[in-house]
Amino acid sequence: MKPRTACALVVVALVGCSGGRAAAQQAPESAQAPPAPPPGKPAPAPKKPAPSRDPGRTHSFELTASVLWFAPSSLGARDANLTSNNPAGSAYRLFTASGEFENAAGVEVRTSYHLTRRLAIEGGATFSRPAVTYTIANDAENAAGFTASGETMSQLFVDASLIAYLSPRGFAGGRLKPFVAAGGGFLREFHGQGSALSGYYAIDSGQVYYVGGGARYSLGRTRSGAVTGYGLRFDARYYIRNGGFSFGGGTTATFVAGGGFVVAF
Amino acid sequence: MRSHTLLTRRVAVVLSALLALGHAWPAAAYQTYGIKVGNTVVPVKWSRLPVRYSITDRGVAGVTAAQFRDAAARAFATWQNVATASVSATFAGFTSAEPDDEDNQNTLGFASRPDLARVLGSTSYFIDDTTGEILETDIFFNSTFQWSVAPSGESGKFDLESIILHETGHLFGLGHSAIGETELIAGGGRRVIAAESVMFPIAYSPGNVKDRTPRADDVAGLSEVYPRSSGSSESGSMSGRVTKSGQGVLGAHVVAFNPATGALVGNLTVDKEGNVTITGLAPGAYIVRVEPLDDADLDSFFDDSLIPTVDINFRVSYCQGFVVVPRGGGSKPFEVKVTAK
Repeated sequence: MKPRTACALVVVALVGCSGGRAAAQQAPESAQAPPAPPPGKPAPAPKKPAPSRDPGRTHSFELTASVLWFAPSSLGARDANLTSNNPAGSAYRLFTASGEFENAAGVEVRTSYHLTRRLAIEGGATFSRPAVTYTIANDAENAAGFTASGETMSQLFVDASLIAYLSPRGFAGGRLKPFVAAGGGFLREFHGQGSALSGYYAIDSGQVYYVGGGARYSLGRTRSGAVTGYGLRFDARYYIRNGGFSFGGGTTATFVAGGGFVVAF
Repeated sequence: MRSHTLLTRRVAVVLSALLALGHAWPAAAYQTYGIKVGNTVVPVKWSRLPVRYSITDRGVAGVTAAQFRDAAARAFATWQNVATASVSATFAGFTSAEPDDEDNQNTLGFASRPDLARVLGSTSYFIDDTTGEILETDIFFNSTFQWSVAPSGESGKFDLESIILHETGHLFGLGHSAIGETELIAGGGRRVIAAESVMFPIAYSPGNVKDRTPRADDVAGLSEVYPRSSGSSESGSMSGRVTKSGQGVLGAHVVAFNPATGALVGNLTVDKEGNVTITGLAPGAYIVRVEPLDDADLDSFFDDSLIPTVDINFRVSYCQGFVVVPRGGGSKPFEVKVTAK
């Protein structure tokens, strides 16, 4: 519009300076009004703005695949007790057993749905194969204490969580978006041996709850197609396991951290 | 249908004397009794329930016949309430019969047995030796001891309900458990320091009522013989061997400990190859401990003919690694290697 307006103003000025012989025969053309349509054709509809392809926009999805590291964690301790003959006496300890999950690698898949730019809900499945070691001590007949490998278990968490981004627009030009998260779900642990999920014979179940945080870092965007962007994601969580395998029941805790690749839709 | 007639061979077997001070009669097997029919060992058990029992119509000092009846009823109810087993018994009335008569009547009662100075009670069976079916049992409680039915026990008196619970465990076909620790006492015999099975062959001291409650080992044994239909699919078993210098060990006591629940269930190696099987276990990972059978007299667990071959000359040892018991199945075989003392 601007070039047309500039030309119209110049024409008016030139006519004015020549003394009136070149007075406009018609009103100067309006710079703002669109050109009149040809007779018989309807006015063109105003163009809609192009939909946003900004990853993390409201009502968008993300899919993340990550590799995780599970820190070693205690499984507690329990005495193997016999009932004492003394009516008022405490239990007779035959021995003490304690256990621990060794550190382990795991994999995870998570799906996020952005309720707003700041809030998202997420569902995920996490799988790992921690080794269990156990220690025997305090044998009543003075057998030597020892620590041994118990078994390698398979552990599956399936959870739902709420993600809160600390800044809807992020940092570093919008590429870096830190978040905090909290969630819970169920836990399944498989004893025995086998491949994948076959051949496992004894199963423990329970619940998991966690708090944590992380950051999403955008590597790039796409101009077209279902995928709107891609990047990296880093997570750190503190899990509470309730139920599942332990020495003595109760809750146990574990720390998990990892990173992966995220695809935005 | 087998009946109590001359067509049926009946074998009188005297089993399971519970001892005050630690001496007993031979038992056919550990955890459950069995007899050999041809080349197969079949469990000794009731094929028809409920078991109808009678109570002798006389008491002793401190315990009337009615109190005896009530204590017996509580003991039978305790076994009946085991969630993973299906047993039952009904009181058929008082009787003047002695608790050792072969009269087609299952009788519980007091009997004066000063000749059995270390025997609190004893269970005897009549069994059809072609099927293992129990036809009749009788249980006596030695009236030469002081007895009590007080809810919290009485000093100097043995708790009748606890001893009835033990003996009625035998009535249902349970053998002795070895989960216990004892010490030798002056004058011979043993005193229980602690135990974790009602079926341990040596009783707690007078005044102690802790044996009124079955433990995991008792529950596993009863559930093996009389499984409740839904329970059998939930439990599993473990099997393995105990060896010393490459040779099997007979009579080793193998105890499975569930670290998640604290349950202790045990059994003995039953042959010269050192084989052992423990059944009625909740699924999960177990720690297995092996010890010599030195906390009770060997004839509480083995026939006299086997006793010379029972090996108690080894140190306590553990299986290296968990033994995982599957739901409704058996573990992978394990081996525990023990060393001589």
